[in-house]
Amino acid sequence: MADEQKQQLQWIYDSHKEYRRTLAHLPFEEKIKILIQMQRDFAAFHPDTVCIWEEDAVESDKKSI
Amino acid sequence: MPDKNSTMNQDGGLVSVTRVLQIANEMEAMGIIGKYAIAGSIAVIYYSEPIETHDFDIFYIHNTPPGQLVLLSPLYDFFRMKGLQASGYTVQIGGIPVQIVPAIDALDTEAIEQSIEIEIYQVKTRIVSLEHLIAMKLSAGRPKDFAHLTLLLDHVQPSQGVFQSILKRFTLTDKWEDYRRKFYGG
Repeated sequence: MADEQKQQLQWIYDSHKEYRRTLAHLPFEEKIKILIQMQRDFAAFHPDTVCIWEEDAVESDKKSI
Repeated sequence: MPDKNSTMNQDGGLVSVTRVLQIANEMEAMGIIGKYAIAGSIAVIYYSEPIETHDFDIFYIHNTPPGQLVLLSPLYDFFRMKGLQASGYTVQIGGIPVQIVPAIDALDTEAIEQSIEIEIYQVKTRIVSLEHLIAMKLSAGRPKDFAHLTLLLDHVQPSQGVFQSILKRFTLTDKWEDYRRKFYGG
């Protein structure tokens, strides 16, 4: 593998690692929002999926319910 | 295609995770389950990064003597009263398949007893400690458990004193060393 390719792969790996670290530091509630988005993305490719969680209403929504 | 969000979450709850926690708290307060704690993939997400999952695992302590079947009828009666659909250990709450599972061994029981109080969506709840979660994953030993372990250890490290003590008490030291050798080369 050429040095340039190796550098590119290393850059992708480092960026991904940094991105994952950012995700890990999010508040739990934000992680759940990402999880729900993952479920929706999954369902887009697998139409027979019957499980998508419902997003939690924010505090202002709860008051209006 | 029908909007799955609008057709699936018809148990009266507009908030899902909040509702799961409220139901669990209510069951514990009514004595239908013993002390409970969040475990499984949701605990992995809590300590690390979001991963794709559909289940929400809740482990609880029960007082059934060893070797006897844990009776689920009180849980089913409660679910019926709430209008929730249940099958096996799984109950649908706000569109979430929630597995409400009795502790099956001493490790589960200790994990629940020593779980940590947290607040999610302003609801008080409990989650197993990182050290117990790692031990539970190690003990379960399925491929997905090892994947979860690796994910966890990418982000957080257990408190060594506590962790080593858990490994020793539940005879998991060899499994831990095997795992370290396979995935980290030593």
